[in-house]
Amino acid sequence: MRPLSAESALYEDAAVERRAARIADPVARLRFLRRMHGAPRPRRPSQAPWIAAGFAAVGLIWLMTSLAPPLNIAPPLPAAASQALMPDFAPHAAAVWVVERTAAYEQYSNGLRVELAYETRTHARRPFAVMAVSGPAFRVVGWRNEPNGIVFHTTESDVVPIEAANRDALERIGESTLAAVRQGHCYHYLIDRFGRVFRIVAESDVAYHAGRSVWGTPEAFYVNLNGSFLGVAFESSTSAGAPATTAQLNAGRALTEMLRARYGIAAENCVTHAQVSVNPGAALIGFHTDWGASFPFAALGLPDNYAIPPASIALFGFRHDAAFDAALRGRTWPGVAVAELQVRAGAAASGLPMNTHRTALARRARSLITALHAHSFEKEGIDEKR
Amino acid sequence: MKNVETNPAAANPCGLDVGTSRICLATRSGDGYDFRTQLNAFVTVPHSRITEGVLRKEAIPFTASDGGIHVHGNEAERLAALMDVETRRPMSRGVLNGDEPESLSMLREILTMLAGRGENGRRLYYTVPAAPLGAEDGVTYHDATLRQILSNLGYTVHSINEGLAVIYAELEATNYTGIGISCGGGLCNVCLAYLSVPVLSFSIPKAGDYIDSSAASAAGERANRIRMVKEQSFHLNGYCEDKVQQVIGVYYDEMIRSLVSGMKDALRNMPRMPQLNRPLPVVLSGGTALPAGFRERFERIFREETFPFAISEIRLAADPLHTSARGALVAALAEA
Repeated sequence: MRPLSAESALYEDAAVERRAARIADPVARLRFLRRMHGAPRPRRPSQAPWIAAGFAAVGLIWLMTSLAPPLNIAPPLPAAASQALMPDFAPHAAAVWVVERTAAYEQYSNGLRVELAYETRTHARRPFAVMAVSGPAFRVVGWRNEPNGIVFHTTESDVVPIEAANRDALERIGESTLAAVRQGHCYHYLIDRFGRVFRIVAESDVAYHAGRSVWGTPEAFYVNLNGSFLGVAFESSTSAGAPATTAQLNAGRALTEMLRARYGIAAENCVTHAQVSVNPGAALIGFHTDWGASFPFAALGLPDNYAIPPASIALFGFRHDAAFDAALRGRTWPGVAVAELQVRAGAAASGLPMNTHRTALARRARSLITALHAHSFEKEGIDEKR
Repeated sequence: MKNVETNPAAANPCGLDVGTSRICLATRSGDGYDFRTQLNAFVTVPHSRITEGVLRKEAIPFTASDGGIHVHGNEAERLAALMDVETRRPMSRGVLNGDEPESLSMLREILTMLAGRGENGRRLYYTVPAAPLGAEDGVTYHDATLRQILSNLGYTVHSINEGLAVIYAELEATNYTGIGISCGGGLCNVCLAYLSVPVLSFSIPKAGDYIDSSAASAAGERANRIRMVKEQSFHLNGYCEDKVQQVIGVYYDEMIRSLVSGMKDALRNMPRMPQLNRPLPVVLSGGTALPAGFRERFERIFREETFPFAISEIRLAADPLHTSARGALVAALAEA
């Protein structure tokens, strides 16, 4: 409790009250009352400037001495610096080259070793469209022939603890997994639980890893990523709660570094299957949920790409359902929230209710995804694998 | 203002209510007032250049730091709801939050966003809380920090006790004599003034945040959800739709009793009580006083106690969310 201003002259001042009551304007009345009780009349800057300067100097000295170092108030940041872009995470993937190549393996300069025993072919990648939003429609802004990103998967195969006693089981499970993914042309690369890297499908070819999928920004996005993104799978099972081993993470980092260097892949285009997978018919994200949470982006030299707003929401208005939430155990990506803000802003800009705007976005997206999907398989003449 | 033309600092002064939950800027607009409010909170998302681009394009205020991207102000609440996380608060219990490493930078960003640059030494009065009952003065650093931030924006600044600001906004009819109570997020501020002079002021640390956190803990809910229920559908009239509302009611009662008890203790311990020859009005304001039935519940509990003066009325401010800001503006206008 801090009682203030307890001078006896302040009390029972009936004359002051009577005068105040005659002042109609409440601000003027307050000004009068405060001056009657000794509030200093402010000096005009044009009067006695030397007095003002003197008070300013005293005030500055007081301020400097009263705000002593223990208060540690940081100086204000320049406006530009407060919103300066963070440096690109691993911005310049150093060149990685092949040190040795045999029929059995490739050895790279960054320590990566790629086993070739299970390598197979499908069909060559064809030029794929780079799309952009153009008002109410989409347009093709370019074509590419080389991979533009990486999608990380899990094999969701059986897992047993990595112990010497389980050596036979580990080998058996590993070999059967490799055989299965090779037969299905499921990924470009598989990293087994011992950190061995196997090329499954040649990088020049299409692997059936992404299915109906979307990733990118309004300025450059990709649909149905089998041809535009490389698929890298970790032998693990998120559903069984078995994250990648340390050996897998080390191998994954070296592999990611090599692929990014080889194709100039941006860090923001190295994402998980859960982030890109969609169900266009139901306008839902997360048709597949592997690596929907806890993907070790940092361990692979990548930024936390869960922060990126998924194009499936931001551009297509897709939603996530209870099954998706359950698979992620409530750990929704931060990027989802940002994408929802984009959809809301779009609804506001178009003057439509949120649901109406979202439905229109989803309808437009379904047509695009379906058309591109059918087109690609007509050209490729291959049944859908995933 | 007769000297406005020759005193640029007096042109268009403003009042700033710096609350734990919200910051409100009041300016004069013709014969009325304009109010702009921002949530005093932020939420952090991992950094991504694409996210930065999205936020910039959608004009969502943010800053980037080593810790990630901090979205601050009103948008923070929406983002937190979408992410199902709690917002982070630069202030706690009415003053800078010492446990929040980004408190200073975020408060600076929100104040800059709301108030902008002060042209020609524009006058600004900002509210500060009174020291809590029975506690050492803990507001000097908070006051000095606000003063520096706002001065660096170019304003000529003065602080005003938050409870006194309520009196300046609401009690011109009694020549600014009476009791002003601001029930905010972090504190309830009380001020007794006589002819505009503050005679007694103090705060109690039980307010909106206390209700939110206590009710959340008791009901097993997030504090954000408790706050939304409290602001949207809660009534302090004994009618409880569900357990959440019942729990909120319990902690509202606790807060009001603490407030009344604090007033009684403060007045009893006051060394010299002014000789007042008229009953005093009591004005309630602040977001925590908004629920229907709050005024009635406060009056019922208040009248159970004995005070050394008579009370003429207990009423709710005309615009409880903007009262302190308007009172600060009145103080700024009265200085011209």
